[in-house]
Amino acid sequence: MADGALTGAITGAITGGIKHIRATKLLNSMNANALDSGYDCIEIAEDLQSLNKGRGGILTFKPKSGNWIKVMEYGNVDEFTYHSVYKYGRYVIDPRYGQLSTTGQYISMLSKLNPLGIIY
Amino acid sequence: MKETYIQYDCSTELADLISSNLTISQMRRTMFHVDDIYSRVPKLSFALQNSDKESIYSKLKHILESYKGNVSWTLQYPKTKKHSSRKLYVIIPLKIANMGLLERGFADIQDYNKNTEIGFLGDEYEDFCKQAINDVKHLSAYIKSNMDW
Repeated sequence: MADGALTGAITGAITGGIKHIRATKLLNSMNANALDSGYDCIEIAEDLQSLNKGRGGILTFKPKSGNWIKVMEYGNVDEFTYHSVYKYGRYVIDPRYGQLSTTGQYISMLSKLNPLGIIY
Repeated sequence: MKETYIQYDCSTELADLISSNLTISQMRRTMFHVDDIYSRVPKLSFALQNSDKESIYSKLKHILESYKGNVSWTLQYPKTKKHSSRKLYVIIPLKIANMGLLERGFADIQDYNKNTEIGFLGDEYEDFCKQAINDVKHLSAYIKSNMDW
């Protein structure tokens, strides 16, 4: 491997590690307040983005068919008009889902719960 | 341990009533989980898009507070915060609303656990969940009648 490529690989690994640590901290920071039923998922996502100095973005999911999207929260399935999560790097941070997931894992989980399809 | 209690699933009845008569921007459809009834005290979180939504919220609150059920109910208004337009209103037992969970934040999960619904209600928690669940069907009918839907 050329020096440049090696340096790039190392930098990428370090950046990825930092993002993982930061994403885990963000997830844990919202554990308690996310339990508030009046705290909408999009607000949680916006507040997480704000906590992370504006980095990352927000993903909003809706059902492709019907009025409700099924979402896993605290080990149970709930239905919502829409569902929003904070996306940072390759991670989705959803405190009510409770575990750090990659975007692909998270979308896969939602797709299984909503076999008629989701849009985002 | 999860427990099933009810024979008739009315967990989405109130949500379906409101969403079929009003324009909602967000709603958590399930008030409680049929196969895990102690996972939370029944409540319905939602936000409306109707142009006259403020008067609708006010009317709903009045109707809820006039309902005589196993438990007393109310409409909890969102706490004022920067994104106040996106805050959810919550149909919730008055006793839980009075805990003030929506008015305060929690330092951490330990802080929450000390002040959670279970912690607040103690031995009464499971019976309270059952009593509130038993209200949902009649509460929905009461709202339907009083809203002239």
